[in-house]
Amino acid sequence: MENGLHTVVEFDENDKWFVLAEKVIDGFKYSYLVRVNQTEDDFIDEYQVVKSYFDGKDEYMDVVNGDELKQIVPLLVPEAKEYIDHPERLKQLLND
Amino acid sequence: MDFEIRKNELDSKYKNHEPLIFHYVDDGEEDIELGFNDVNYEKAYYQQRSLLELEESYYNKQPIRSFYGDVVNFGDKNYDAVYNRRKKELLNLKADLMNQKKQTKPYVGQHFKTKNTEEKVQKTITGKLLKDIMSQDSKKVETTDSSIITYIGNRHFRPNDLNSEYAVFKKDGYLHVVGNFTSNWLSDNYSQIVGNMVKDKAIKNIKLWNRLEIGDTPLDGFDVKVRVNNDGNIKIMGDVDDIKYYNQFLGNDLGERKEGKHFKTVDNKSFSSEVQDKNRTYALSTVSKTEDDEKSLVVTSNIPLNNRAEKKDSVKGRKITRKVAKPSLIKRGIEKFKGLDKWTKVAIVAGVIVIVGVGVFVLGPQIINGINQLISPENVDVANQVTQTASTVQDTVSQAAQSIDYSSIGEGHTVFSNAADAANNVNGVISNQWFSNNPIDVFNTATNSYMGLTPDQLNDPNLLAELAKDPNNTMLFGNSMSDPSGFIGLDDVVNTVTKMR
Repeated sequence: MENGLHTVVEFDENDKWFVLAEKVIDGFKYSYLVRVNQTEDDFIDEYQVVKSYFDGKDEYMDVVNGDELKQIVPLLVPEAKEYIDHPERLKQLLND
Repeated sequence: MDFEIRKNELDSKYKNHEPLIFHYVDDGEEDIELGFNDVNYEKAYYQQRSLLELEESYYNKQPIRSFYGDVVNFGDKNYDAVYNRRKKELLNLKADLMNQKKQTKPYVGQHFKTKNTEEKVQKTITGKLLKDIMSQDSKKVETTDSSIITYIGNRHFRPNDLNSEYAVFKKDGYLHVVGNFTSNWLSDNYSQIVGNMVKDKAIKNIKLWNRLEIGDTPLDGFDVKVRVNNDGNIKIMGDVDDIKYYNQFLGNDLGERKEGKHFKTVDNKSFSSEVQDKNRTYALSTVSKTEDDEKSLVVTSNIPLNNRAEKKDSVKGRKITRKVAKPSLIKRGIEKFKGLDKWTKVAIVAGVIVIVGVGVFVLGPQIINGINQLISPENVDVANQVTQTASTVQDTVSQAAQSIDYSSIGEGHTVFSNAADAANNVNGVISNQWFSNNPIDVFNTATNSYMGLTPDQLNDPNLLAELAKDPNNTMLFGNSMSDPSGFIGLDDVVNTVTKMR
């Protein structure tokens, strides 16, 4: 499967995202996206986890929510698990 | 060993009248070693030589000539078919069972052993079963490893043969087939090859790894290696899911071979019967190392499952186009998240917050506030939060799984002028038409502070229901912090607001 890490994913002209993390979990590809501006020069502080579906060569992305999100995030970003268990460590992480 | 060497070896054996292998089809298929004095000795040489030449042509993508003379080039859609047909023809060469070898050569002493008789005698194939030869320690048979693979038509790597050794595993959303198959044949025999794995609907594509050679070969892009040892065993090295090996060759035994009646006395009936080769073609050998510059002898093909009759998972979400990011964007990212390891810090922060149910996953600045809230409830500057939501909240609301309709809270509802009264349910007044049912924040009378909830959280029924369990939580309504309408106990709010959008 092509590695989509650090590529730009475009839903339309005003809806573009940058792939921060990508992993195949249970046969499905999940991506962690941060929004980028229209000219793809800078980041906008929005983040989402999406799941890819394929139809032939076309790729579709669907937003992940709820329980699935809670299961996926620790797998997509394994480093998060420690902080999920000990959220008080987040402040320290930010101050680093 | 390359084809040249193998052809030379065969020629040398033939010239020296050494025993040759003949692939014989009777009830089943068998490899037989024929001596020089066998009437089919020349036929064996012709068969083995032709198979080598055919294999060489196919491997080098040269034109192939069929028995009838027509030639196909590589790239022609019939190329594989002609190759397979030709191979089958060669392997099915009819043995001459009627004649004795004519005395075409002068007496050369011990080579010529049989009596020369004029009368035609029906005879059986007199060669020895190769497996019998192999089991006799005393018998000297030229059997370097390459020879075994070359002349026996080793079952490991017979192309397009369900009995040959292969492996199937899943990794990274692909089904990988490691074996000596062509992609067309794999497509046609897919369900037989992969067995139960055919039911896995998550698999959308197959990767075929063929043209295996001895040693370790990495499967590009998958952090997996295929190891083929001198016996021809396949082993998959690396982290894979659901691996299954088929037809593994264990030990020195040549394996299960057909037990058919090879040396029965030939009567007229059986002699004339034709053996139908069902669907099995045999090749002479594995593809040997060549002096090709092309290092990667492992060929891959993608076989999409779109044209299969299976039901697909319905596609969800929105279609995307993917492109390479500008280097400046990547550089910008590095600057923005300075000191971070691959932006994982941001991912961690946002991910953690959404899981523990505080903060907003999709708004950057809110993450910081959310963390503060998570760690120690403090007075958060709610006004800042409200103004920041202007442009982005419209986009993100659509992503919220659920939202709350506050319209049921309004004129006529019991409201309170301060949070303490709301929590204690005292001094309530009936709201009038000026009451704004826009939720601003949740105030906790025990900690005496606002929670700093964002619009998204204020629309999250699960979160609010959870917070409502604390009787000290009250919700502030109004146009803004500076223009509040009043407080309502959060449990009251949650009970009232039953309609969800």
